[in-house]
Amino acid sequence: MAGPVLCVSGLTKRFRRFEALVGVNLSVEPGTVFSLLGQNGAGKTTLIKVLLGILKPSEGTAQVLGFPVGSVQARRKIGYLPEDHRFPEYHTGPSLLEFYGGLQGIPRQERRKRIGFWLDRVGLGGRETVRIREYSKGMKQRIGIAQALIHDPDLIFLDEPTDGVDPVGRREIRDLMLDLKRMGKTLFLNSHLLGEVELVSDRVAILNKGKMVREGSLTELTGSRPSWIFGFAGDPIAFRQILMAKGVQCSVMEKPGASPPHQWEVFPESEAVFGELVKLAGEDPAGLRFLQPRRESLEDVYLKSLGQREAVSA
Amino acid sequence: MQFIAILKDSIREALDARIFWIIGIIGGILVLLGLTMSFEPLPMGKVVIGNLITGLTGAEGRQGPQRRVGGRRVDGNGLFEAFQGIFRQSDAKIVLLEAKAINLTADVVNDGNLPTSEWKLRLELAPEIAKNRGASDSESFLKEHFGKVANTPVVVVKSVKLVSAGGSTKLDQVELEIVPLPGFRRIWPHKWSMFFGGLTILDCSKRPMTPFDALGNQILLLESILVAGIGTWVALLLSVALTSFFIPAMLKKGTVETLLVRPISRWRLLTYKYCGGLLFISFGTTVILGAVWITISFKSGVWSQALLLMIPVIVFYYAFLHSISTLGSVVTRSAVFGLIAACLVWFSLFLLNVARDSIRMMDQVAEVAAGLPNPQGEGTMAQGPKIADSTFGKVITGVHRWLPRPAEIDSFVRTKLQEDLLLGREAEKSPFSVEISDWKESAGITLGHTVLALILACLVFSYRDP
Ligand SMILES: Nc1ncnc2c1ncn2[C@@H]1O[C@H](COP(=O)(O)OP(=O)(O)OP(=O)(O)O)[C@@H](O)[C@H]1O
Ligand SMILES: [Mg+2]
Repeated sequence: MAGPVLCVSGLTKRFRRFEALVGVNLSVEPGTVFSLLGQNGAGKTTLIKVLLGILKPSEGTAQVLGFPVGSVQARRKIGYLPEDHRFPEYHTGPSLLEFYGGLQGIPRQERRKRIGFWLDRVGLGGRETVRIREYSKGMKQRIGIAQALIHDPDLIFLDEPTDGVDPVGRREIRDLMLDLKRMGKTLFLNSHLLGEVELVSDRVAILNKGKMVREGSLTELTGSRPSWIFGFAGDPIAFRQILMAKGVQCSVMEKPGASPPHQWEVFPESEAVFGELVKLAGEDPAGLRFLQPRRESLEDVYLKSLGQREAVSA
Repeated sequence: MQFIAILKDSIREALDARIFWIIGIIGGILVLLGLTMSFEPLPMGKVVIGNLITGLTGAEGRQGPQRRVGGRRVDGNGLFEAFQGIFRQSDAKIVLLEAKAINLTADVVNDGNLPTSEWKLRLELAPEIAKNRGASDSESFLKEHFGKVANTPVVVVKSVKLVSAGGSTKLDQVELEIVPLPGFRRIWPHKWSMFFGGLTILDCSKRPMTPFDALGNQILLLESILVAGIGTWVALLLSVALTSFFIPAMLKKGTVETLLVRPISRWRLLTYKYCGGLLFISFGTTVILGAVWITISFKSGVWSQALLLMIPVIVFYYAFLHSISTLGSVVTRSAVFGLIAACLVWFSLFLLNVARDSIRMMDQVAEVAAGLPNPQGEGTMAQGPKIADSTFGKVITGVHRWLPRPAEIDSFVRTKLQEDLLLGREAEKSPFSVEISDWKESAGITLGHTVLALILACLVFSYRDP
């Protein structure tokens, strides 16, 4: 579809006098993975619920898949995994999917097929007769993902999808998210696991106390100052002198016991400078052992942006 | 399709909560109890036929709820005090001289003094009939009028034979052959016992017959007091309690979100869920009442359909209470509160009804008292102002008029039961008679409140953040 799948402007949500969201602006392109980061109570879940039409916005407007939020048409093509979901415990996996599939208006035959498919896909195949009452936390999470996808939605909201899932399962869910992205679905992800977010997201936004403090693509956020690590077997005296002479910004990395012991982080201003430095480093008698690109991690960005906010507000 | 999905979900929920078990167990216990019951016809044919004749003779000048036969007051049930031997009264127009059973149906083993026996009667006709109408006329008169209780035939007059013509001093004597219709059983006295005869409830073999001894009245007693009366209240409260958790469970945080994101409007979601509860209770009521009805009918041989009317009536009032509990639980998100709300509403309506009835009764008593002679002086007692005209009385009466009137549930069904079990106009004279206001209006008001509560619940659910 043309244009953004999600378009939010000036969104504010108040619970009585408490402002959970303040003037949030947002736009998500189709076929991308959008991640929302923020501390506990930042308003991430609130934002998702407003976008789903579960909560009514106090101010501002939002459009989902080209429809106003909360409209039935929009809901037809939206999938949602709530954070603290409590699915009716008397259901089994298949009957729960059957129920939600029925509510979504999926024809009977089609429903049957999809239920089998999704149970297998989330790793619940063979556990068809177990009631949700007897599910483990991870199993609940898995059935939650299946119910969010059973109707083949175009836009999928996942609120902490890997919460309570074991490392293998987490990996599976991550692969699933990438598969969905490949299929052209748009994903809206809430997560505290920055590593995970970094692996799947195209764009990331950071929410702090209801305000959007940063928003951008992963490279925009983390790649603003790319640097390289040069690792030498001995002290690269000649290389250091060249760096000094050229005025290239650099710093020694204190890594006790690391091998090789001498590592320097270098911030070359241009590709040409970088190429020249690589050549010179190779010629250094200290012996170049490795060359590694270094980006700011999402964690750095995240902590920094929250710290900045705090500094401003303090 | 969405409705089916919600319904199937509710069925699972109900299965999980063992609602069907409860329905089955209650139904089973009632059926088992019913099966221990027996209605045994007593050999009292002459009494019954005597009553038929009093019914006929009284039929012409009957006006009030009580009428007089031979100077004695007779209650209005058409089934009078014991009739021994030959019945003869000065103002009776027909007199039974002799009655004997002439034909036994195949399975009758005792002396044939049974509601299924055919009878040969010898009657003496009063001069009015014999003289004014002539012999052939009295034959057609008897064929037309004999053996009816309140215009409903219970026997067929097969033949009328003039035995001896009367003269100026003698009365016409005729011989009648009568064949019983199924309705004859209902006016026949029966011995009613439970626990395979272990507990006798009614038996008039050693005492004069009362209206309650007739089978029709016994079943009426059973159905209207036990089933329609007590049974309804228990069934209603139980139903509301059983289904009160349906909607709160759906509204729980973490559950409601997964439903609200589906392409279905909130009011529909709530209404469908509400209808789910309604369907279960309809099912449960049908099963239990149907089983009880079949048991009673099977045991008594009287297949009266009026009891089945209880099914829609219970469901109807359940719908009202369920809408209140739905509103209560949508507003508070608590099952317990929803249930309490429904019970409180029910109890308030009950109190209101009691208040209204008391006002009426006290005013009636005052009215009667006002007609009595004044012991202190001339004339009659002065009548004070009516309570119904006071502000309090007006408020009570007015509020009562515009609120659901659950007390009228039973009165409606009871009336139908009477009409069905008590043969035609007898019903009007029954000691069970209750004052019935317009039941259509009553139902309309209750329906209105049901819809109102449901609409309110839908509005709250739609416009409030969960
Ligand atoms: N229904 C509500 N009524 C009142 N306050 C609410 C309600 N829902 C959320 N809040 C408040 O809004 C703020 C944001 O909550 P939200 O659940 O969106 O946080 P979150 O970012 O999802 O946190 P977490 O990472 O812990 O899931 C919190 O301070 C919370 O107390
Ligand atoms: Mg959250």
